[in-house]
Amino acid sequence: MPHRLNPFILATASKCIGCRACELACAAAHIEGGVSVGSLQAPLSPRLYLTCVGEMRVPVGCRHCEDAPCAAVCPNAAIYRTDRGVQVDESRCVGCKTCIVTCPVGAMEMGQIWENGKPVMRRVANDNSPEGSEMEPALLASKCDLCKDRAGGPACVEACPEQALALIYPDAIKRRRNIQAALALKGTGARAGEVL
Amino acid sequence: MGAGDCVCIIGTNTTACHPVIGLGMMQAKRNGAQLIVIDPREIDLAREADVWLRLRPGTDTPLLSAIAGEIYNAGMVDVESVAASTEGFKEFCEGLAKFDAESVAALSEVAADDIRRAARCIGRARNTAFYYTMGVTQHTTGTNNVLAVSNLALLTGNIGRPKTGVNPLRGQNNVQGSCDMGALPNVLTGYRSVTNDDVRGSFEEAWNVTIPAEKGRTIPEMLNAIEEDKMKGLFVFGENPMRSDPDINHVEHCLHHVEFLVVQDLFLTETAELADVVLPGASFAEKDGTFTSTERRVQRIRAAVSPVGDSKPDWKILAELLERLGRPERYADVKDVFDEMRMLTPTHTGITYERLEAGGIQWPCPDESHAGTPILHVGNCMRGAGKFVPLEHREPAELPDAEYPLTLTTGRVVAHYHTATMTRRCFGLAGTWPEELVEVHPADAAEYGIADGDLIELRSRRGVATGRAWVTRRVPRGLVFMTFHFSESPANILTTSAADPVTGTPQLKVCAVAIRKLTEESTSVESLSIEEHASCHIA
Repeated sequence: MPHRLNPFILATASKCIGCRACELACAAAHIEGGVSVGSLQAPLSPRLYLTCVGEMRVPVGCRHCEDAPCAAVCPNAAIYRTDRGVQVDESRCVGCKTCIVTCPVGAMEMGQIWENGKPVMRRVANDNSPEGSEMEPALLASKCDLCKDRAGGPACVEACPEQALALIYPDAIKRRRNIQAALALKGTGARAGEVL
Repeated sequence: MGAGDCVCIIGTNTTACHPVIGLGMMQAKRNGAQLIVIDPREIDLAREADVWLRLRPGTDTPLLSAIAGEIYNAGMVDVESVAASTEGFKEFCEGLAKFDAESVAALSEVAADDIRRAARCIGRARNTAFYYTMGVTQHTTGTNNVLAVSNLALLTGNIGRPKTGVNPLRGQNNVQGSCDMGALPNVLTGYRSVTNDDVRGSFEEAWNVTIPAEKGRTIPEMLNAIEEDKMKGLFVFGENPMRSDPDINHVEHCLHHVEFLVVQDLFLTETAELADVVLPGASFAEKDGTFTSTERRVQRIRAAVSPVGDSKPDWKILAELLERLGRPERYADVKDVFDEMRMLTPTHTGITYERLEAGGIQWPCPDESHAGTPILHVGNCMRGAGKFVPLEHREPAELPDAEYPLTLTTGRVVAHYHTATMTRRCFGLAGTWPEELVEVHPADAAEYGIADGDLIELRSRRGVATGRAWVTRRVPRGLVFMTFHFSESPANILTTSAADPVTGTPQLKVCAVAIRKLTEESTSVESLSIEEHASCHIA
């Protein structure tokens, strides 16, 4: 069934124990050498965020909004909708941070991208340097990509020891609820001829 | 362990510092064993505990003695058999009178009923295993605290059987092995005193040298001797006293003052930066030999990769030094070193490299037909009669006062190892716990206007450190907690070098501090930039 609405990762706060396994798994899934914490070849930078408020704890991440405000405000068309959620093309990101400001759940982050064991660099203007510019690690828009290139699906869902995380297909849920409700209606109007 | 058994842990944050054994404890709990946790902090295991005694730091001896007293008074002691197999029993029991539950409750801030609950747990359990680490030993009363654990185990008959015993968890993969090999100031291999003429004689004969008959210096004594110009040179192996020793400012002064400093380490640590000569050592994965685990099990290790760059295994560095000091090459390989050691060490004589091929062997293992000794003190204590030692309470060396109103205690987190010279070079571990989080109780935080995540400054009589506050009920009011992992937030700038009079182990678990919030414009904690991240590819 083609999905009309974007899937997204949803956490059940009542099940979350705050262990951060989702953050670790997320970071590792986006880094080379991600077999164990000891074998990673780049710094950890998770794309969902365990958030503690009072006694409550729950990871928060991208909802892959249908009317994605991050995509709408991006001046360089680095953020766009696909049939597998809202995605970021880091090579087009200029680091303007408008997406961070506009995201209603705080899912966007400026993260370092590492390739071949080194941070991806960018040139920034600097009048004090002889060349008039210098290189520094680039900070680029980074958010949940639903582990689009991962065979096993989202790493956070797989890693959660309490099954608090799920990959949600909203239209599939709607359809399932419709069916459940239909079955529940089977008994109504049993008295023949009665007008409700 | 399971139903009917009891695990009693004291001063050990096992799931953080010995995670594999910590998981074993959780498993025991799931199998139905009772868990008693004695710790001032709400460590993860405290949440699993049947009884959690949140004692005031430094009151271990009276608390353990009160538990012993309650067990004795409730008639849960097999008086006849304990009296028959021990000495000093009567004096010990009389000494317990001054540790009644009510007065110890006032002293230790643990409710008397909780002391009784712990006593009932231990008194009724078929087997109780006691585990402890630095929370017991790193006090000016460290020796007494260990003796208090030992007294309790003797009183309840929990020695010499499976699932029992006084079990110190060693903090490093081979700290047991290095102590077994006499890397202590007062003993030769196998814990035999240097003052014993026969023991010294056997080494003098084998090595054709004269060995000093008096015991050497503990680390604090060494530093003092440097200050007094009685010690001119220092050779530091795989240790980073500029971060791990108490009162770093004093350590730094001494290391600057010493005439000649050699440091052998994997990385250029803060200590190595002060050295006249740095010798690059090899890591665990780059050398052959044995490690001895916390259960005295001698295990063979083999190099998985060649030493990186100019680094060499420790034994090679020492053998080459020996050669230059006029002692010609005596060791062709690690086996020669091991064979010399086992012939000079009765507890290890039966352990050979050939036998280790079939798996580890636990010493004592006096001859090659001996299977090794998984449990000590079976049937009888090794010294003969088990010895009760009556104890007194002594307050820690530095209590909070008006100027320094809070108590600082130190420890570790699961992601990092000691001064983090290795673990901060590993992306995954560094990312898991990137910076110091100073645990501060919400009430203290409110009093000093500190919010969660604020930068704070901690001051003691010896120095100043900064770190980020974690406002949490893991610590009780009046206690703050820091690790010694982070160079930019070095807890040991603050700690005191006051030490146990017997062992010289410093009181790292208690010192008095004051805290305040740092305003935004004042210094921020500069995250340490580590240039060389170790590459740890899995082939």
